[in-house]
Amino acid sequence: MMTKRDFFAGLGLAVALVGLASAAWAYESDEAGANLNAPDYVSEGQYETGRLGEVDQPQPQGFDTGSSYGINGAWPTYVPALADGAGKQKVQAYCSVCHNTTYISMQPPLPSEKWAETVHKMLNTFGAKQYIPSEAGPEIIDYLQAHYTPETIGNNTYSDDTQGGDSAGDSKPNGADKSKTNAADAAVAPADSDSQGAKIYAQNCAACHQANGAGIPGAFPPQAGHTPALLAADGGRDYLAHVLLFGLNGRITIEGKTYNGQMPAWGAALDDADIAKVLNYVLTAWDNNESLPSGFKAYDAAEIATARKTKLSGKDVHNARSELGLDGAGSAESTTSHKQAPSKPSQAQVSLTTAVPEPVYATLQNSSAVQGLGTDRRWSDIGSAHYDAIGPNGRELLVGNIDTGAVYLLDTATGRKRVTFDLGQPTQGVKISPDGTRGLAIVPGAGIAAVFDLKAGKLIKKIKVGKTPHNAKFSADGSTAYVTLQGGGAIATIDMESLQKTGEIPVAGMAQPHNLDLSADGKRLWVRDFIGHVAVVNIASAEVLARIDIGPSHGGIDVVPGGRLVATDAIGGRSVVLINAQTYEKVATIDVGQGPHGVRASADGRWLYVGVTGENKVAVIDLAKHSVVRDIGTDGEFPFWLAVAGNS
Amino acid sequence: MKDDHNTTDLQRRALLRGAGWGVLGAAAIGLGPGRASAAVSSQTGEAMPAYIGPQANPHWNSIGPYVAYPQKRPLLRLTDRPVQIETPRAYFDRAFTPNDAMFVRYHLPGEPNHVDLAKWRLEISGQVDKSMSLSLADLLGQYEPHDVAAVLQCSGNSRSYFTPRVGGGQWGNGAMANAKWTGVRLRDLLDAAGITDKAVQIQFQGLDFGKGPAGYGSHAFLKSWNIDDPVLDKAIVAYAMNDAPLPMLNGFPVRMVFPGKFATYWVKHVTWIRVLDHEDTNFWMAKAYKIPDTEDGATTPEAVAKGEVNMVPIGVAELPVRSFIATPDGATKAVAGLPVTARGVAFSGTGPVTQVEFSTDGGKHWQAATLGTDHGPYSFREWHAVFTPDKPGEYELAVRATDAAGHVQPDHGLWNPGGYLWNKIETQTLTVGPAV
Repeated sequence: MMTKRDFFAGLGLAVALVGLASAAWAYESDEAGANLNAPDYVSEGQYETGRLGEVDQPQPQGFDTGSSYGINGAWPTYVPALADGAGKQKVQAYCSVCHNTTYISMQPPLPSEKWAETVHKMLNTFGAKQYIPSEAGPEIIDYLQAHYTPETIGNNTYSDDTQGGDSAGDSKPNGADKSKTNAADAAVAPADSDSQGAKIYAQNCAACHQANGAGIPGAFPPQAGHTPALLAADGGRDYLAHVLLFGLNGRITIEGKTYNGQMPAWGAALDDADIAKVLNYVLTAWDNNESLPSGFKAYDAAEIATARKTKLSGKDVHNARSELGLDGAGSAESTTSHKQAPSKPSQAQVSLTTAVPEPVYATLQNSSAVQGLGTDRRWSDIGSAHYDAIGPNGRELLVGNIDTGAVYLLDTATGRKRVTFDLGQPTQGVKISPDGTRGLAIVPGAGIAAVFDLKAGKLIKKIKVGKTPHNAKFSADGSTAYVTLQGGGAIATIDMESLQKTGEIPVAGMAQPHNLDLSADGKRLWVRDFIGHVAVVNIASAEVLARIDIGPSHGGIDVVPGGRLVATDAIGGRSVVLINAQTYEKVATIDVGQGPHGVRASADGRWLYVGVTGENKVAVIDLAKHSVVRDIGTDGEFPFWLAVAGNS
Repeated sequence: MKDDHNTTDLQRRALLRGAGWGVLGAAAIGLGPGRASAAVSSQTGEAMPAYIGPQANPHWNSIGPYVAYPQKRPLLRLTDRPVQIETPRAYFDRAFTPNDAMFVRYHLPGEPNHVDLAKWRLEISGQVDKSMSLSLADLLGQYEPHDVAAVLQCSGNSRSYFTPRVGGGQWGNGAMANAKWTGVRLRDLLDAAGITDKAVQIQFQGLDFGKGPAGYGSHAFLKSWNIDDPVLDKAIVAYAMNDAPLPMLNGFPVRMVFPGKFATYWVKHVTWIRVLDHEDTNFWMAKAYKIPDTEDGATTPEAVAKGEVNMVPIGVAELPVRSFIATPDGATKAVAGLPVTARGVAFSGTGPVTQVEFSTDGGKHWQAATLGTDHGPYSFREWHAVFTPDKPGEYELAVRATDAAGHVQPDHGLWNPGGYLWNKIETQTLTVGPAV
């Protein structure tokens, strides 16, 4: 038997060689002493999609202690498709900054609150909020709750469309017009699809901008046929570096299409060299190279390092975009200019005073503001304003906060916060009783409905209502409150006299009741679920009278005063659906723009207001004509919910 | 292919031959015999994501697809970036897990692709008399090598059996492995560096980094022990695993080995050993990998919701005693009147395992199983039991181990929010058919 001493004595040669090569290494470290970066002698984190099973590299059986040791190529990945639905692209894009979405598809179906908790952990505990805009958090949570809970996972569909794809574009994107360039003049070589830049693009960018650089119209802007124009603009070269480093936050228009996604800041996730490589890739892939000036100089790490010294926010970068002097197609829009898409012939057919006879209070969630449309009232510093509700005299406005436990009671005449209640956890729906004395706020994480005495400005009771409650509706006399149980497939009833939960009305066939309203006679509940349906429920018998398919995702619902029509929408789509309140038939589907959610009619039943979250506007529908007659741009982002006096 | 661990001269010579002669380059690449056909289509291998739940995973392993990684046989994929892959059941019929079948669990996506050994150094710094910077050759040549056979088990092994389910890596039973680890005693290195009297903890960091911002757990993975923890005397800085270099995904060039403790502390690619003058408060110590401070580490979702549970680092716990049935695995019928041999492995962090018992009636009656070679207290111990089913029907096989500290596996599962410490008695249904 060979002894251990003999065994290791054999290493003498290598030891001697290494002795000569020894070098001192300096490491950057943080205050606590942890090393901040992988040293230069290691390459790490290189991945390549779609190679699983094609890799066969047996383990070496010995060392050469003087050699570089590694695997051949990159670590293979294969990411199964995520469930189809609103928010999928954002989930792919933002989550994949740090990890692939196998972290989602691996999980068992988890309760809604667990997903919310997990996303908050990623954002806060793991620091992902430094890359991911705050408004994307709720969208990611919505998506996960809509597709990966025990109630929803069985309904998923999967179109195998994205992340397993090859890294480089092999199909021509729309809008990349080859005829406008002259190939003979092209002095810049096309991108190499095997380059580092291509791999960085495939891993970090393709989920949104697509492998072929075409983007997704209305969601993620194209790189093919577009980025060279940015580079050519005065200041464009710095701008491109800044977009990568610091992100882009604000609405832009390219070739007549509006984009309001949030480009994450990649400055922390990618180093200078990687950013230079991926920029060079984007500028030379998909025939972009043919649009570059012949003297094009590739980005290098030093240039990015210089650009990095300018500390900018995504908003700053957005402002810089408008100064690029790009006319027409590529120009940036300020978020306050409210320019409308040219394809809407219907806008401004009626005056603002006609269309908004009484104030419509829109929560502007991403701007932490509430705006009174038809008035000059706008209050900022209403943190992450989410749902709102107006009192009977139009004076008190109750507003919930999706990020904290704050619920604000505002005086609409003065804009003053009369009271800020603290419920400890984010709220969903809020409501004011018909007599204006009571307020309700729903805390889904705790399963409670909080009851406020609005006159005294006091929290008087937290009522356990059931699993993941979402919104509430008072009966006309205020004696009963109905609360959707998104996690419980039912509507809870609360006796407002005793402040006790009195029972649950099951909604057969509906897993996730989300928003609700009452029929004009108060005998039926109109329930909008989280995943694309409306159910009409007889309150006395719990019989489901009708079930109506609406479209993807969740939305609001309103029984239009007068009782003839019911309106609903879907934040994952573009349409408002009008339903005949007696026959339960759909009578109109009206395109209002990307991402409608809040929907509320005027007190006289003439106008329907729709918060179009993706386009920062409120669309006004004439309920006599079933068409959009005016778009009102909001002074702030993500108009989520609307409160209209006289139609609580 | 020879899978069994076997400390033969031949293997030692193979490792030796590699040293100094550079077999790690082109010669290492290429298709091994009999493995070339493992390729599956990258695009069609998985039409839909599979999931299980909300009930407990009914299978022995997790349910991901088989995937082949460099230096690995096809293993069961949980996640691909960072990499988490699980060892299939069939490998647990033997005491030593083949290197290329050993499971992988990363926290951060910066798995090294290449390490230049000419430049790599193990850095020992902080509250020491003399900072040290050691090459792999230094570790191999200047310090006495030590061996220990020890089980590497992920804290979350078997997490998919928790009810209610908890989030995290949805491991079946295959996030465990046993190897003979060879390397330098941590104590020898610390003695050489000289620990000062200000030392409070020792922190370990490897080469794998993440994309998150500095200062967050998503950026760096750091684990620490109190300076007086007895495990430090058992710890090995290992450069060989079953007499071969560590596979890249298992921590090349060296990783920490803490016998009897969960794998979260066995830092891979360990490069920085820091003697701290304070308690480590980084995410991976202060927030993650914590277990309820109860006798068996169990609690309830209700108690957690009420905030009644005091949580402590999982480093306070030893690996609970466990045992497994590798075969029969339920895939084939047995024949009435013919003997069946059941075999598998057992281990404990408070070992050695002193007894393995086997049952054919779901745990109503137990018989002693035969134990295999003793490879030391921290190793897998093989066991087997022979029984002859006398009539056709369903037999509920069960196995339970007892360790030197008197711990016996329980017949019930536990629950805690992290999905840790599972060691319920394992069972396997065996169908017995008639002999005609």
